Formats: sequence, structure tokens, C-alpha cells
Amino acid sequence: MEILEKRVVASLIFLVGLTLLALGLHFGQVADVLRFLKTTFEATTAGIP
Amino acid sequence: MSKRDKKPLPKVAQKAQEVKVHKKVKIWWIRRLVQLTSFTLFNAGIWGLGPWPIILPILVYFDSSTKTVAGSYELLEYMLSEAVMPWIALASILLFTVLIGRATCGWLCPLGFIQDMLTHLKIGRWQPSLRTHNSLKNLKYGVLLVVLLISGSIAAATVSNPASGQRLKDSLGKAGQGPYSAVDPLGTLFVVIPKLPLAWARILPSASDITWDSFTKTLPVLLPSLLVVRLILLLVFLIGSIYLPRFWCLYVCPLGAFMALINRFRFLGLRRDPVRCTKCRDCVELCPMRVRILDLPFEKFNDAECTLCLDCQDACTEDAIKLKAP
Repeated sequence: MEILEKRVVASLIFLVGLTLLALGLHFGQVADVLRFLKTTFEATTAGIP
Repeated sequence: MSKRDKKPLPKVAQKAQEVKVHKKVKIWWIRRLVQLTSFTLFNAGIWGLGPWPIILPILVYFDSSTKTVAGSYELLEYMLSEAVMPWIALASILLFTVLIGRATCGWLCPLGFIQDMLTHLKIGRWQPSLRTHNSLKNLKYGVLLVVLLISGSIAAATVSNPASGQRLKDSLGKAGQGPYSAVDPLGTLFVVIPKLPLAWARILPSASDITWDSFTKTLPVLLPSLLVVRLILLLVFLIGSIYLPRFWCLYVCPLGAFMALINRFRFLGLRRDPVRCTKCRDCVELCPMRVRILDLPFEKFNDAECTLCLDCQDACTEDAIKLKAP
């Protein structure tokens, strides 16, 4: 694949990323992130008797 | 060697060599300093800092009381377990990778930092053949597929029928929330092992009451199968990292696999000057991710495995390798 073609694909991925970020912000997922950080993620403690 | 070859270098050449050596040490030290600083900052909850709403495509399996930033992959598993579409976690992986590639693996990831430190022990070195290496590299894509299938199935089942989704999650226990998070060696090292003594103290009867029978009965409770799996994987991780640089990143890490899919398209790449390059292979020998730099196009190369650690730039005495963007 040529460099120019790679740049086009990269630009498309970048746009998809921005769209997903906008969707995340729209659905208030930043609050989910903070909630996630404050609570214990049970999977991380899996295996403790 | 003839007498002529042994002639001391002219002063200008000596000075140039000193500058090169100085540059080598500098890049190496900068990366270690950044790794150490980020490792400390990600645990800054100890000093009452954070949490900050920052999502980075790295593995940050630290205790929730100390952790300050979220790792994209664990957040993705957490959101899928809650049957929420992980838009923001996916956005973080896509945006970071397309802009700076897997530089977060090379410069920020705590798991990568531990692997680098273990490799510095220089106890021994295992170099698999290129064929074995190429086959093993595909293992991480398999890991990614399996863990995403499990998480995705649970999320889809929960959305379509919450009761059946919950049953499916319960059948897998805590691992149902995050199949990879439940076995990650960083979590075992920094979350599970520190909590084990207290957990065992709660279960074990007092020393005077221990008999062989009571001990054999409590053993399965003390060492549940998932804990045994976690400890074995931790051992594999530790031994593997001592003998092979970036062992986990190369062959197992599902986040690394996800990023490797996009990494070849990233904007920030490396360039090899064909005039300066003597094809000495020093860069190839020193690359922890075993990227075959000399086989890649010189104007800009973006290998799927490259973590932009810049060890190749450090290794190059001719200064032929440089960063290139876009």
C-alpha cells in the first residue's frame, strides 16, 4: 500500500474516532469513566478467595 | 588489522562520536524517565490525587483506590459488561493509535515498563526463529477475538434479555465482567497478590486448630482455580519478559493486537535515510518488537508491531533513522 493510500485510510480512521468520541460525549460517558475509576472493577479482583 | 586501521580518530570525528554517544544515552533515559513518571502518576491516588477523566490505550490494572486514569481496554470490558456501547473507549484506541501509533505501549504502559525492567536483568536471552515468532505473533489476535466474543456475547444477551444476560454473566463469575481483566498479570501483581494475605487470614483457622484434614479441605478455598490460572500466567509473564523483550506485548496483549490492526496506518512514522544507512543491522538487532526495519520502505515505515520506542534511532550510529509525520 502506498503512503498516500495509507494517509487516506488514516484520515478515515481519525474521522471514525472523532465520531465515536462525539457519541461518547453526547451520551455522557465521561461520567461513566469517573464512576468506573471510583468503584472497584470486580474482574480485576477475580480469583481472590 | 593493519597499523593504519589503529590510527586514532581525528579530533573532529572523536567529538562527533561523543555527541552520538551522548544522544544515545539521552533518548534511552528520556523514555525511562517518562515511563517511571507515568507509572507514578497513574498511581497518584496514594497521595490523594485524581481520579482524572483521562482514557489512555494502555493497561492500568491498579487498585481502584490508587488509580488515576482509565485504560481503554479495561473500560471497554467494563462498559460491555454493563451492556453500554463503549464509544469513548473505542474512540480513545482509534484516535491515539492513528495519531501516534503504539507509542503509548512504548512510553506509557505500566505493563510495558515492568517488561523493560525485567529485560534489563539480562539473566538470559531467548530468540525464537523468525517462523516461530511470526506464528506466535498471531496468538494475540486470537486472544483479542476470544475475549471480545465473550464480552460481546454477554452484552448482546443482556440487551436482548436482561435475565439471560445476567445468568450468562453469573455463570462465568467475576471473569464474566472482563475475561481479560480477570487474568491480566498486572492486576495479579498489584491488586490480587497484595490482597491475598488478608483474604487467606479470614479463611484459615488459627494455627493450633490446623490438622491435615482441615488443611486439605480448605486448600481449594484458599487457591481457587482462577487464582491458580492467574498465578501461572503471572509466572509466564515474568519469566517470558526476562528472556524475551516485550514478550507480553508481542504475543498475548489483546489491546496491542487491537492497536496493531490500525498501527500500520498511523500518521507518525519513522524514516530511514538511504544515503546514511550502511545496513549494519544494529537497529534490527536492538528492536524489542523485532521489526525488520531494513525490509520496510525507507521513505516512511509503520510496522504493526512498532511501539515508537526509538531504540532503533538510539542504535543507529549514522543517524539515519528519524521520526516522520504525517
